[in-house]
Amino acid sequence: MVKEERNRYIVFKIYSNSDVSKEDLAKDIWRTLLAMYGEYGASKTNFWLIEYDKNTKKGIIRCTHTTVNMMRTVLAFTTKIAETPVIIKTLGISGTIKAAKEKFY
Amino acid sequence: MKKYVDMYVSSSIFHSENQIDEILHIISELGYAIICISFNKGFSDFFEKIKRKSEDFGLEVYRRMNLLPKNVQELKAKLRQIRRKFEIISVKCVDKKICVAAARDRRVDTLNFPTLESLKNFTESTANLAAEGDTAIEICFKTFLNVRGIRRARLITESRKAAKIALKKGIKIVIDSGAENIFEMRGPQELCSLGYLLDLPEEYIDLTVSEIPFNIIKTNLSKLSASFVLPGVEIVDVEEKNWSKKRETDT
Repeated sequence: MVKEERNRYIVFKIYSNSDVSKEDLAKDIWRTLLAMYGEYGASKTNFWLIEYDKNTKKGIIRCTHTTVNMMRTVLAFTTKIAETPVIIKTLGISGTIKAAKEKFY
Repeated sequence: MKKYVDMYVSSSIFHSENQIDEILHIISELGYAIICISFNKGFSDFFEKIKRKSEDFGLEVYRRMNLLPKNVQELKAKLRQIRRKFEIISVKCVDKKICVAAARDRRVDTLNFPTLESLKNFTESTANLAAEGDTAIEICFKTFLNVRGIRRARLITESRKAAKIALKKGIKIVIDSGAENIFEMRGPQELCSLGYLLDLPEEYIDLTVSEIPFNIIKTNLSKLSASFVLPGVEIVDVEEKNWSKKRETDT
């Protein structure tokens, strides 16, 4: 039987002039998510920042397969992290963390 | 392979000559193959430098002019002056009369709506004119980044209405960044995410950042070439003429 809710892992890269911490990144993505889709919408995404590498500026977030486009929009609308202007670029989407790391990280 | 296009990048993203390489590197990493840079006075030499360097990054760079005329006469005069100098001409439709005139004019490539209020100028009747004039509408990502809360929600609503009218009337939609600094730029897939917010059909969204702007540029490049006379009529090369004469005599 196919699971109703399947996870997707979005690999992204940050372009910024200064370093960004994982905590600040998670906080600002949550803030944009809540601003754009509200608490109910955010609850549907099952969003979690799985990991973020400060050196490569690459990271992985988790969401459900039905909310991939929502999370892409959220990443696109995240303009600042801890007052540092950023561009967040989606590198790819995968069904498992392992595949996400192998293909895009 | 699909070529992604950002049809509106302001010249102000290149603040100094030292940063050209760095900025072009980011733009190519974001996934673009073609960008159109809006022109200011005295930008000509700087543009040539950018164009030369862009080749190293596999980028094509074209000139774009944003018109913000005071009245219809000024719009017509400006179009007469500059149409053959720029690959892309866009008109900022802050006034209803200008919006109507720009929609009707085939020399205008895109209608740009820089504010929430200006989007109200795009009605069904304007859309009919734009469809006849083969003018596209342009949705800039920057407009959405610069507002928050209620204003952003209303901007999304009005843009959604405009997009619905455009699709109904068969008008092309282009999504671009409209970036005035590098951090206002977004990758093609991120620009596409705006299409989802505006309820554009999924198969159409990707075209708004690739095929549609690419075809507009391609058509204009052929129009700007020296051999162009009318759509479908071109001056053929002299060598080719001789060759066809020779073929006739052979047969």
